Amino acid sequence: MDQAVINGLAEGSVYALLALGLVFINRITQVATFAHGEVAACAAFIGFSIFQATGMPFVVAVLCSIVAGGVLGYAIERIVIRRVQTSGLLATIIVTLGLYFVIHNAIVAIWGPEVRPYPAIFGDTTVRFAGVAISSQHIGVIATAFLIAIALAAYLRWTRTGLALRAIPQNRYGAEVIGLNLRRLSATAWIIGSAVGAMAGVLIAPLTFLNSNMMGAPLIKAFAVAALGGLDSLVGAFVGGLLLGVIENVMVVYIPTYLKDSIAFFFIFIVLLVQPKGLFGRVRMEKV
Amino acid sequence: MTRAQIFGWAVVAVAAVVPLGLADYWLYLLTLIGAYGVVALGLNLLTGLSGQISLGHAGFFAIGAYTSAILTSKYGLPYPAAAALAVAAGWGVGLLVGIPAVRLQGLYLAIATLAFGIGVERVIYTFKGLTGGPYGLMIDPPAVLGFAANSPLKLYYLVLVAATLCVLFIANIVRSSQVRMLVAMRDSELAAACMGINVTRLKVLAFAISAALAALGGVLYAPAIGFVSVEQFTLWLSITFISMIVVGGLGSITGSFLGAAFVVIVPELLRGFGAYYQIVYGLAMILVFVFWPKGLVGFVDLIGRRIGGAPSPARPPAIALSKKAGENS
Amino acid sequence: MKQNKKLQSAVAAAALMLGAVQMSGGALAQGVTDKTVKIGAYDALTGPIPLTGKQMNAGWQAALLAINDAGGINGRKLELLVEDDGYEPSRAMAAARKLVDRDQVLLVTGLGTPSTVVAAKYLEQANVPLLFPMGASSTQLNEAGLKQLFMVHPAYLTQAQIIVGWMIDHAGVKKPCLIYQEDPAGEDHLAGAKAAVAARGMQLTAAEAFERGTTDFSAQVLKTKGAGCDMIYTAATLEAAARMVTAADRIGFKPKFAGFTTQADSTLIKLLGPLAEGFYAADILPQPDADDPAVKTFLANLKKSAPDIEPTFFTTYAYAAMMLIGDAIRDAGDNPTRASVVAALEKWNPHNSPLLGPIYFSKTNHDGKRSVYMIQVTDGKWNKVSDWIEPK
Repeated sequence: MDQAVINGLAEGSVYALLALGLVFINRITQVATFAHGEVAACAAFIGFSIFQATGMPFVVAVLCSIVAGGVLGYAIERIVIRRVQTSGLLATIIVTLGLYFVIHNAIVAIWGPEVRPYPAIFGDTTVRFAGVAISSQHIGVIATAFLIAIALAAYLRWTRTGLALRAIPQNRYGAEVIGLNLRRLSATAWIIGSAVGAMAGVLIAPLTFLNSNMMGAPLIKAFAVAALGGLDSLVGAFVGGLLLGVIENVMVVYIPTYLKDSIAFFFIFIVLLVQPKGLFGRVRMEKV
Repeated sequence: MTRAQIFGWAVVAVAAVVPLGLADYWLYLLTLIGAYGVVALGLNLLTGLSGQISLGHAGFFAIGAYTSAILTSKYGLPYPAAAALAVAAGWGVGLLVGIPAVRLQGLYLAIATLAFGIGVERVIYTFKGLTGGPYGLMIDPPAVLGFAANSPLKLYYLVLVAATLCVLFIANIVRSSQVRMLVAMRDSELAAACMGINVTRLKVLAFAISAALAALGGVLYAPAIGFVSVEQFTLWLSITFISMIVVGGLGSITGSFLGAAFVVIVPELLRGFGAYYQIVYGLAMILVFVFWPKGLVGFVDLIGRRIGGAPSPARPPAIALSKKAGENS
Repeated sequence: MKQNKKLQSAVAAAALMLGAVQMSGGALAQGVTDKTVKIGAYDALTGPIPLTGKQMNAGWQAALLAINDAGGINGRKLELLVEDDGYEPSRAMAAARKLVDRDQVLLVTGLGTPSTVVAAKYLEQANVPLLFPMGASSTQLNEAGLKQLFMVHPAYLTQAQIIVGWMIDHAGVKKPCLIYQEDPAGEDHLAGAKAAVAARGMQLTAAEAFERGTTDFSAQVLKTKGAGCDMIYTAATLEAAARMVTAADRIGFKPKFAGFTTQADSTLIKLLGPLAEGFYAADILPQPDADDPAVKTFLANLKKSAPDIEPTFFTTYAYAAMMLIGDAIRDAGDNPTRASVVAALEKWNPHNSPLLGPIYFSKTNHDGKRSVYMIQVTDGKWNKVSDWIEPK
């Protein structure tokens, strides 16, 4: 049971990280990007290619992936999103879905459908503690997600750009009036959010092996987590992710294991039924 | 008759005559377009007119397809009865999902419907004793009132008749006061509520009707393929449905079928290119909103205006439609 | 006046041509002309298993190259038309229909158990042979009694029975378990495993299922660890099996692992590295590094046809299967028809495939191969650890 909790925290951290990027972008630019997973996958592939081609230490490849994620995010925001930003929710959903298809198939076209082993950043040691096996992977993943969540929150809270980013969703028009450069800030949000997603991709790849289909299921889980936690709340995304991971792994100790993936959907229904804005979402006042 | 009605009946006439010379494979494609078009009609009512976004309509489509397939093949019910029950099932589940769902806004509604769609897929899988799971169910040619649609041509005519009836139905209710209230509601939910319109009731109604139409689409689709299996009704299909109405032209009846045609024909044209037809889909979805929000129907309009010389009948601008879609839901 | 004459002569020419076509086309069967024989295949080039689809296609093409370079079959070159079905059964049915209706192929082959189950239903009705597809199901395919279907890949039930039985008899396994995909193929494996333990008066210590597409097996692996398993039979795709091994490693669980034919592949070693050590698998084909002239010919042809494709299990199988298809068409005589192909196959008793070994068909049995042999990863390579084994 305790092992299940540890497994759940690790798995949940990955969902949480992916969801954090998603929520960050959505909160600031009001766009829920269905292409988030594919951007993360693409970034992981790019980093891997650089690693293979140059033989540099793997950490460099990880950094390249993160940078690649940021660059992709910027490109998407600048080329596509900016034009449909004000066209409403349906437009952004459709456009990001379209991007999902384009990027997914571009990955297959460029790197092929091959499945490749992906080095794990945190090594391979396992520690036994009170009957539970905790691997360095477990610890590394949880710690990374935690640190990034804190970093994001701190960034929003205590830096000037962060403050500006927070201002936008509160009052977009007002933000422009006081001289905030909305374009630059939107781009920043996308860069950061996508870079965080890339980090999640790098953490997932060793578990699923690097392949073009690897982010399909995690993205849906990330959306589930984001919805659970409220699509605007970073805290919600983080807590929601861990919660889902733990609940999934603990419940299957008692119920048939193949139902594990269905638990997420079950929970979305319940939560949205009871609390239409998710567990941590903000209630937005509607101006009359 | 109005210009629109003349246009409509002309299309039906052409659709009735042209297929007589076509090979089986083309008839099969046209039949699919008919089935998908019916789904698009419902989705346009839901998204284009009442502004709610559903990413799970493959679920209702599956309910329609499976209900009619199981009732005809396992219980020997005649096709019309099975079809009616399937549509009723779609309506019922549409109400069940709609009632809680309409409380959700925008993206939450999209995610909830996404979860619903995936949920239906799982249920089909779990009850594989009944549904055949991934190996699916074979479907016999349907027979309506003694007319056995046991050839591609006959099946096509069956679907054509059904699609035409649906169009008449939708065209009629679009003019009704209920739907005008719906549109009013889409433009400003608050104002509509102030005027005494029962917003929730209308939204649920729109949901249920679109679900019933999606189920009917499934009922028509199943015999065209001759087979149903759980692999056909995935999230990818729900997304295909949405792209249908967007590429075809939101809120438009003609657009529904243009979008359906796009979605059926593009994979055929690009068959030699493997995965790349998905890239074309994706690009189309992006480009529509970036460059040509009116969708394919906008092209048709343009050509129509050039030929006819007269200004096209007023249709709400698509950007405004898409903007409202989701904002007020 | 002139136009009329032109029209008349055009019509006359057309009539003559039609007549000519009628006369020459009448004697030969669908898919067969004087110079070519057309074969069709449904393949999963897009969707969840694009790599397998790519490898199958590569194997088929390499065999085609080998056959056509040697002059074809009875003077006719083989032509292969591949339709993508994205691993979706309904599209497989549509693909089969297209190949038969529009492309008029002589026979069909393909990839994917669900796709094959569905295509087989259609092809049975259409009286078109479906030869040696990659996939297996004891109830739906191998032992379904279909007249047009011929299998050379052992049913999963048969394989599971052999593998689990052998592991108990020869690898000292006392608490056998399996982790299987929740679908008919997985259930086939489960039935075979159950049969094996029942025959030895034992029971399965644990049997955990997972949904197709699952990427994290920590829950399944945890449950088997808790049950005390000393062997896990990985009834899943190669990638999934690899993920099970890494998941077990993460929680410090080290049972014996055994997989079926699709895991008998160098890709497993590539993905797992040192963790692959000790992994058992069943195989029906020789490994690419075997000292076997047939293997060397295969490798040479693969290099010629697709130099960047590795010789994996699927590539090798597809090559061997296509070579067998060539044999079947040859045995069907100078003017092969669909019926004569079926008749020729039913006389294979046995027919020797250089790569697959002896294949046995008869009028009542279309399950051509009911044995496997075991291999194990030692020192980073696959090594044979048994001879051909039948189910017990």
